[in-house]
Formats: sequence, C-alpha cells, structure tokens
Amino acid sequence: MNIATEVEVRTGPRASSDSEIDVSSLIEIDRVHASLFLDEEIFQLEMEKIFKRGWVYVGHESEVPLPGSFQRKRLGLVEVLLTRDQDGDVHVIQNACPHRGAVVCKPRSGEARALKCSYHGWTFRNDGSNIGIPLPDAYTDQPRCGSSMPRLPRVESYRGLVFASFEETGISLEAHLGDAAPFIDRYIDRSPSGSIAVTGEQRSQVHCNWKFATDNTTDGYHARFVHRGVFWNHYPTVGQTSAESANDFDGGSKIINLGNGHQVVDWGPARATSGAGKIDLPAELATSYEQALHDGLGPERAASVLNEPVPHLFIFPNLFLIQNDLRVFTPLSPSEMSYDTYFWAMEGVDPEINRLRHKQHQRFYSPSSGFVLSDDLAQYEQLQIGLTGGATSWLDQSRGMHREKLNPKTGNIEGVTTDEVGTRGMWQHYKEVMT
Amino acid sequence: MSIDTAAATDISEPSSATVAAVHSLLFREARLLDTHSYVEWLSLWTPGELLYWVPGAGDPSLDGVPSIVLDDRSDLEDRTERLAEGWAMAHYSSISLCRSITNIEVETVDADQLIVHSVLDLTEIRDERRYHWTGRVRHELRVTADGLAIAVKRVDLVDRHLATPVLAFLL
Repeated sequence: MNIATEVEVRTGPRASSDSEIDVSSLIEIDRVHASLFLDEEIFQLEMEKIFKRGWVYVGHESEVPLPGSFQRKRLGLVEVLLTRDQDGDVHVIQNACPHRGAVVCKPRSGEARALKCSYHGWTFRNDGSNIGIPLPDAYTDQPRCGSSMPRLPRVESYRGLVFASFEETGISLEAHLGDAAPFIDRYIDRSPSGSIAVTGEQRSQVHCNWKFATDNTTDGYHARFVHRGVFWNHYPTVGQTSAESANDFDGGSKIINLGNGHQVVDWGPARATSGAGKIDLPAELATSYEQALHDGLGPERAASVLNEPVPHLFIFPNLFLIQNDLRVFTPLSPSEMSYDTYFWAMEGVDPEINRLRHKQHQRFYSPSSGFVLSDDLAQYEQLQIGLTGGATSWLDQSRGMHREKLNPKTGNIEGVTTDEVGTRGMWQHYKEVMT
Repeated sequence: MSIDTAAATDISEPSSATVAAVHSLLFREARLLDTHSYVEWLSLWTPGELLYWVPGAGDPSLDGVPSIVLDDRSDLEDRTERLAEGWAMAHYSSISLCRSITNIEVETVDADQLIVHSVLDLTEIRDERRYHWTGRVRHELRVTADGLAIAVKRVDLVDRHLATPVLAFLL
C-alpha cells in the first residue's frame, strides 16, 4: 500500500477547498467508506449532529422510580443525569456545575433531595435549578455563566422510554419514532401491566466504532456463523429456523427499513413465542401468563401479543430492543464504545416468569460472557482491527438490493432477513443528518 | 476482650497440612485455567450442584440484577465446552493468560467445609491488546475422601462497576 492510499483509508477524501470532510461523498446506497469508522473529525461531527441535535435515548422511567431518584448517563460524550423531581416529573440535566464545570453527582445512581457541588458548595434541586450559592454577595447580579445545572431543553418519553435532545427546536419524539412506535408497543405489551421495570444494567467495553453495533442489529446473515456454537452445538432447531427464514420472504420473517434510521426484524409466525420472549414456560406458568395478559390488556390485544413474535427493533441512533433487555450503544471514541444492556422485569406476572427470563438473559445475552452477545462484541472488534489495518476502503452493503420490495401500504422498504435492507436504511438517514 | 477470646477459640485453626492442600489446589486450578485445560479443571469441582459467580455492577442480592457470569453446573459445563471446542468467537488460541493467586486465607467452617479467600491478579493478551483483571476470590471447598473439591467460586472484580471487556476465558 502506498502512502496516499493509506491516508485515504484512514481519513477519507476531503473537499479540496477546505479541510472539512465531505460526509455525503462517503456514503453510497450500496457501500460506505471505511473512514466513517475511523476518523476523529467524523466522530466529533456525529457527536454534534446526531447525539446533540437529534433525539437520543437516555434511559427508562423505571430507573428513577422515586422523587429524588437519579441515574448517571452519557449522551454521546456528555455526562448527564436522568432524574425525577419532587413532583414526579422526569428531567435530563448536564452533570456539571455551571460555575467551574466540575461533575456534581458522583454516585452512578441513588436518591437525593438536593445535589451539591463538592468544589464550592453550590446546591441544586434535581431538576438542575439552583437553590444556593455560598457567599453570594460576590455577584452583583447572576454569575456570568448562570447558576443552574443546564437542563436539556427537550425531554419526551414513549412507553416509559425517555429520549432527549440538546437542540431547542426540532421534530417531536412522536414524529421521530414514526413507524417504529407500533413495534415498541408490541415489544412492551408483553408485560401485562403495559409497562416494564428495568432491574439492572451491565456494561461492556468494546474496542470498536459504535456503528458496527448499529449495523449488526438487523443483520440476519451473521447469525449462523458468529453464533454457530449456539445454533449448531446446543440449539440446532434455532439454527434451522434462521436458515429457513432466510428465503421465506412472503410468508415469514422480514427486515423493514422504518425510516429515520430505525429498522426492525419482524419475525414470521415460526418465531411466535407466546409473548414471554424465547423462553418455554411450564404449562402452569404459561396459563397464568395468558390470564394476566388477558386481564391487563383485554382479550383482543392479549391474543395478538401471544401470536406475534418479539421484534428485534433498532431506534436510531442508540437503542436496540431485543428479547428481554434494552441495549444502549454509547460511543466513546472512533474506536471504542460501551455496549450497555438493561434487563427488565414484566409487571403483574408470577415472579418465576421473570426469574426464568433473567436466567435466559444471563446465559445468552450477558454482554461480556453470554453465549450469544459476547460473540457479537468479539466480532465487532475484529471489524475494527481489519479497517484500522487498511483492509478495505469501502464496506459493501449491496446484499439483496435486487429483491427488496416497497410495501405499498406502509411506504417502507422490506427485505429478506439475510439482506442488508436495514443497514442501507440506517446509512441513508445518517447521510441526511450528517450533511 | 474476653468475649473476643471466647469467640476465637470456637474457630479451629486449619492444620498446616490443610493449608498446604488448599495452596496446592488453588495453584493447580490457576495453571489449568491459564492453559485452557477445562476438562481437567472441572474435575476439581464437587460432582453435584455448584456455583461459579462473577458479580456485576449492581447489588447481586437483588432479583433481576445481571452478573458478569452466574453459572450453575449445566451452564458451566456448556461454557467450558464452548471454550474448549472453540465455539467462542474470541478463540482460546488467540488468548494468552498468566495469573497469580496471592493473599490466601483459609477458614475452617466445620470438618467438611473450608472457606478460602484469595486475590487474583491476571494478565490477558488478546488481539495484541493487554487486559488486566484483578479481584478478590472466595472459594467454598468440600473436604471429601478424595481430597478437597470446589463447591462455590465467587470472583469480585475490583473494576466490576466499570464496563467489562469480553470475557472469553475463565477467571
């Protein structure tokens, strides 16, 4: 490889007039440039245009259950707090003192009536508003940079999922979620109360660009290879289902590009799992679960939940709903991310059902050691190593372009589960946002 | 003081032979894990139910709080098979390990049971990257006719509150 090629692989082509990267030239419908996974300048642009201006998932309302509850989170690179105030309202505030910028809240989670900066004792309500500045007569008016912890201007939730944006104006969360909302409903309606409760998180450090995680959310092509141990060693029937569904477009599973960067694997009837999510409940528990759904959601909705498979749903840019856990993609640098999983309990069911769900989550979807998810994360690292070493300038995403179809009812593009319909959809939205 | 003295006399000090046997078991276990000798490692455990536990960030006594690893016998047998057969994507042949076991303390519970505290200090090399794993280990050992056998092993990593790398071997 000569030096000129190497530079292009690492940084991407630049507009000749100035040094700013022309992102639109790096994204074509059927291929994307390697620099999108490597370049520091592009990463900083993503943090600004995607993780500050757009809607970003923060956390679930059940993580701040009481007045005074708080959780430390990251939105892109920015430290924030998800809080619930004394009136029960949920806020997202920057975890920084307006005076000198020190982090204010140090524990990862807990309850507090007020937050106090350890440096000069400035004190805040947990909605960020100031309630005390020691020796205030040094200011004739307000301090130059304000007295309150910055509160994110737009915070909205859907089915308990809290999203926020640093931008004052923009489309509503409802408009952002768009065609993804009914799939969120389908995912959460498995809980008979209609709401879920996050009970614990586990975070994994992955040496890869965060978009390898997003690209993989609806990739049905990798499963029989990366997860060969699970499919062929322990669970041959799961492998068969995946292989069959690959060519079963009309009658079965499909990937849908939902727009706005969202994508879903809408599994076919063969993957219907009686709601609880890929676990086989003993007959007695299954009966009690069906009754709970019936009581909680009514007969019609209960019947549809029991007959619909659990979707694999990606909400751009950082939330993945799958099985029994919410997954959050937290970028840390062009080549490092945190892959965070949040197990949730159903409400209004026999506790044994949640215990069995948790057992299955622990075994297969623990990010660092689960028999399924840890293999995905190890594979993402191999992708990063390949691109860092200049393995290729462009990443191919042309699978199945000739056979994807426009659904005339929804206006969305649909395709076979081993094709790259979702990936293409994500990148087209990314291109719009980034340019 | 008199109460403390009375309590202390109720705990029988392990014999030097017992302590030596514990050291021997822990060092052999460390070598077998470093060399990915999983079948032989499993033979160090009691034949019945067991617990291999690496708690995560949350309070492990609460329901629904994930651990980094929480294996019963069935899980652990599948995990060791997965590692030994090379099903794991981070393949054992690409992982080099060297660990030391230090600060060993042996407590006698009764004639059949010992509790052993130790410190694990481990370097992993994977994909030309160095990972450092440190934690406190608690073994519950059974005294059997054939010698000591592991019934419970718990590893509390010092950085378990942070994001954990992929763990494609056993601590």
